[in-house]
Amino acid sequence: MRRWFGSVLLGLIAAAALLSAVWTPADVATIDVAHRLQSVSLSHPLGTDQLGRDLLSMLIAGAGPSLGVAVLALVIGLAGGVPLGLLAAACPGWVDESVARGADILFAFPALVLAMLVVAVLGPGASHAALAIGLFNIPVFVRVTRASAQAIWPRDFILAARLAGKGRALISLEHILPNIAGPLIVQATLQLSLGVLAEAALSFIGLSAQPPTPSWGRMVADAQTLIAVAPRLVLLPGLAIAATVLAISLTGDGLRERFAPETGL
Amino acid sequence: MIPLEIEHLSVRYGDTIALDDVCLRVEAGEVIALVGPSGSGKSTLAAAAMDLLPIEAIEQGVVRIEGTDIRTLPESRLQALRGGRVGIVFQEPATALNPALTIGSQIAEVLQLHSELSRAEIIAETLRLLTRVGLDLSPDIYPHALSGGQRQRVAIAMAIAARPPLLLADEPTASLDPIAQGEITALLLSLVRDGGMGLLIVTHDLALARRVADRIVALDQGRLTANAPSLTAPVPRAPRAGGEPLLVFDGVTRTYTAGRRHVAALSGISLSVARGETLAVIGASGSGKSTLARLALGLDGPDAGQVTIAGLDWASTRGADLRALRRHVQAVFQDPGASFDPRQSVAQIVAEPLHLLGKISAAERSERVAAALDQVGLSPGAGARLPQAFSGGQRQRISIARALILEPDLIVFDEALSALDPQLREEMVALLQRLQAELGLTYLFIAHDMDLVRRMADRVLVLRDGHSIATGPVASVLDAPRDPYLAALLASTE
Repeated sequence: MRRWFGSVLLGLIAAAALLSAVWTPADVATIDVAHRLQSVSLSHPLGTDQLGRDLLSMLIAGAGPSLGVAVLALVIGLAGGVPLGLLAAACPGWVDESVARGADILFAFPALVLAMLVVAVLGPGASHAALAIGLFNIPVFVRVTRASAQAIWPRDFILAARLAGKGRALISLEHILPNIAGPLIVQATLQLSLGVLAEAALSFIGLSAQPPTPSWGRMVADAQTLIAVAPRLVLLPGLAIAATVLAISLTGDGLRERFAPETGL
Repeated sequence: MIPLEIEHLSVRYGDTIALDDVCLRVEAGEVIALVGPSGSGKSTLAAAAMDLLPIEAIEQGVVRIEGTDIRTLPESRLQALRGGRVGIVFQEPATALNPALTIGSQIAEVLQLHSELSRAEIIAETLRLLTRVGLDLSPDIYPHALSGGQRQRVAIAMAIAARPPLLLADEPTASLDPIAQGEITALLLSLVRDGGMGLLIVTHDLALARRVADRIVALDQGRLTANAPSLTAPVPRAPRAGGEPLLVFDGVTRTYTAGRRHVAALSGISLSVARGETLAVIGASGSGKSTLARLALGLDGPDAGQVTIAGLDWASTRGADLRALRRHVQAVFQDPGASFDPRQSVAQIVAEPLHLLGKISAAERSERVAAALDQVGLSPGAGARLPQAFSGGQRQRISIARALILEPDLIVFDEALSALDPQLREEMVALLQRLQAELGLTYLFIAHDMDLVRRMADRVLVLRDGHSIATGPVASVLDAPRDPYLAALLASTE
């Protein structure tokens, strides 16, 4: 039931993100100050914001940057971290040491603060935010990949593969990767929900998707002075962030039970 | 009071009958060995004696411990019974002990649960138990610092801590090397004789049962069989004239570094195995047997000396020559299950060594897989399934098929038959001897079962702490052992 709820909710949010690319109930770029801060009505089911934009449309459109940045950051983390982790596990000695210590160094920095720095240097924007968050996903995947792969390498079936003359790269690809898919999938869902939170934080301080593209974090930031007048302007985007993180976490729990029950997290 | 009485016990799982009308008594001071092949119901019987059967099992009959029918007891009384009135020793001491607790605290825990002793008395009793099982060790050390035999002694101390009238031992020596096997068996016997305990020892090792038991009870497909099975007398194989040398070790030394300590796994080993011959390598665990196997397979290199196959040195051969060299050698491991990638089908597993042939067509690939499966008596249809769907014996056949697919000259067997029950071992011995005769294979046979060595091998090499202490034809080395260590090794298993 819990699993089912999580994946359905995540499916709805992802569908909203895709839908917002082609259609929203009202245009989110049109400012209509005459109709600002309207309450719930038929033409605006959730009312309008301080600039007269339709809040429902803003929320639907905000799903795009939120999930998009988190997914892109995840892809960057996987593409960078998994090969490095496999390499470290396959080559004990100085290669392993340098990769592992490199990951440790990257870990030592407070990720979000440094992500802010990266975006501040590169300039604000959704793709730069994804790059900054993705950079800090890399050491996470290096660690998980390396540790899981190190547990597989001493097994007898790796000896059998070596007897077949297979090299480290081929063994990593054919035998190690399929056998560590479970922990990787589990870690991926964790990083995805952390990515949504990180994107929300960056957009709250205006460093992620830029206007007129709506984003949940900036909606909260822009409306914070109006919390007494129109609390829904702050609460609803906040709720959307929380629901997305919840949906990903519940889906992750389901995947964990399915693929890596032994981690018991 | 009689420690254990089982009367007309039948156990079913759905339509499968695990035990069929079994009656069994274990008297005080008596040793009963329960033998039988895998799947004969031995484990079910042992679980039933503690009312530990899974809930889906349907039970009929009576199990009495010291006169009390345990099936009428509430769960709280049963917990007092397990560990309190019935001591249990499992096959694998490594998993029976908690790695995070000291051995002393694990023994003391049993005393806290099952006795009325004060704290000071518990500490004294823990020390007494450690001494009783022959461990002259501090109670404050952790299980990882112990050898397999020492861990099994700790497990035995826990089992006897509450002075139970019945001790249940499930394959207590199966995971130990021959020397430790002999010692643990002797310890169990002395405990039974001194303490007046009844011992029910579950095993598939008939030779062990013969040595220790007052009575042997044999189970076959859930039924007690009237006569205990007889030991097949080893038929020594006719020695064959050696041909040209295939595998040669020349003054091989391999040292491992653990922290600042250097441990010589092999020192100055020279040997030569002729084409078509079988060389057995025996020795206790830690004697260097596995290192020798790894060096022969080119999985590891020597620090000094040379390992050559058909004249090619593992250390200096490169590129295409190395691939050609690899094609000469394959291996069969102790646990076939662990030597298969759990995500691959049988066909993928068996086909793995074909990688050494470079690109070959899918048709040739499946043809060779089918041929290899056929050689070990498996149908080609087996290829599509996952290895988990097969029994232990069939998995070992799959693993032999993988070793055969490249038509190698040398196959290294690393304890490959020691996990199988006697019937399956018979089948494997017959299969391996047939394959050797048909294909002219050379075997390097790492083993600790002397019976198997006598039947499979032409010559034998005995290792102790990395040194060769005896080598020569099987009969001359094993029948009149000159080395005292070898004599002890033989005495503990025969």
